[in-house]
Amino acid sequence: MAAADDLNTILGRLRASVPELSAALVATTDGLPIAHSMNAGDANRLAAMAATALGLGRRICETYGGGEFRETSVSGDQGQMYIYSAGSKAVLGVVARSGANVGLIHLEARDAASQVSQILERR
Amino acid sequence: MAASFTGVSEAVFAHLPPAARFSSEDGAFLTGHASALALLEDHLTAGFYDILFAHSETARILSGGERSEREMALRRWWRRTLEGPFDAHYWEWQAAVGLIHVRVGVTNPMMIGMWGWILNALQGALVGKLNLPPQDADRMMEAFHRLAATVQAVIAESYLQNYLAVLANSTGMSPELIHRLVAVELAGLDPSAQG
Repeated sequence: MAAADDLNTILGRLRASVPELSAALVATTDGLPIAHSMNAGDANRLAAMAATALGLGRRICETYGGGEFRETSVSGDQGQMYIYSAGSKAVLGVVARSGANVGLIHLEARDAASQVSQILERR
Repeated sequence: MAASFTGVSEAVFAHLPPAARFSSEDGAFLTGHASALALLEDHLTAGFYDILFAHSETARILSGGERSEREMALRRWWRRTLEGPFDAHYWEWQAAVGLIHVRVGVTNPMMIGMWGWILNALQGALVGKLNLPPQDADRMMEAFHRLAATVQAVIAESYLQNYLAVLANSTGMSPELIHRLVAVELAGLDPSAQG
């Protein structure tokens, strides 16, 4: 199975595990979408934004001595986006409606990010 | 952290059409008339800095230090240009000027505007002060116009590339990501709707 198929499977499982998610995507650190599952919106733009947050998060971690960047989030009054490092080559982004179960999102998305990392590091 | 001066100057030369780019023949022509052109140094320098000191935006950048010290920047460039050679070191130096401009706040409009002034001043001085035959003056202005285009291109490109390099380094975004952000953002832009 191609890596893209594997990634789409991971995103499908993630969204099935957390129904409140309205989008999930994997992008390269350069902002190119590799796989996505979205109800609506522009995957190109969301991927570029996720990669931007990843780059900035990594630099902030370096600056304050926080070690290796893991994740960050952006919250609005109607929803949140969570961004996870997925190895050296990629980022996982998920979008959730306001009121979603944050603990469950983190549990499932961190596991998904780890799987994405393994798939992409093998390439 | 800074953009490669070699990379910037080589990219500019690759982008400039040969007919618009400063050539080795242009260089030979200018250095062949170096002794006459050297006589214009004081005239060009005085006029150049009179203009900069008379305009608040540019005068602010030059504040601090004696005017004679400030003038050395143009004098050094003029002497080196007349002396040649127009080698990689010369163009890397022009690329370094782009980085310096970012640091000190010299904008590209300031740089391009003053290049226009230099060309006008040269055009008047070649005939008015050096009494060059019209044919030689025309050929020299051709060379100076191509020199102006090439130097302006190198400085402006270096300004942009260094700006992006610093932004990429400070935010952790790769230059490729920045280019992608620009492409994604502009893909949905309707230029005719811009004020």
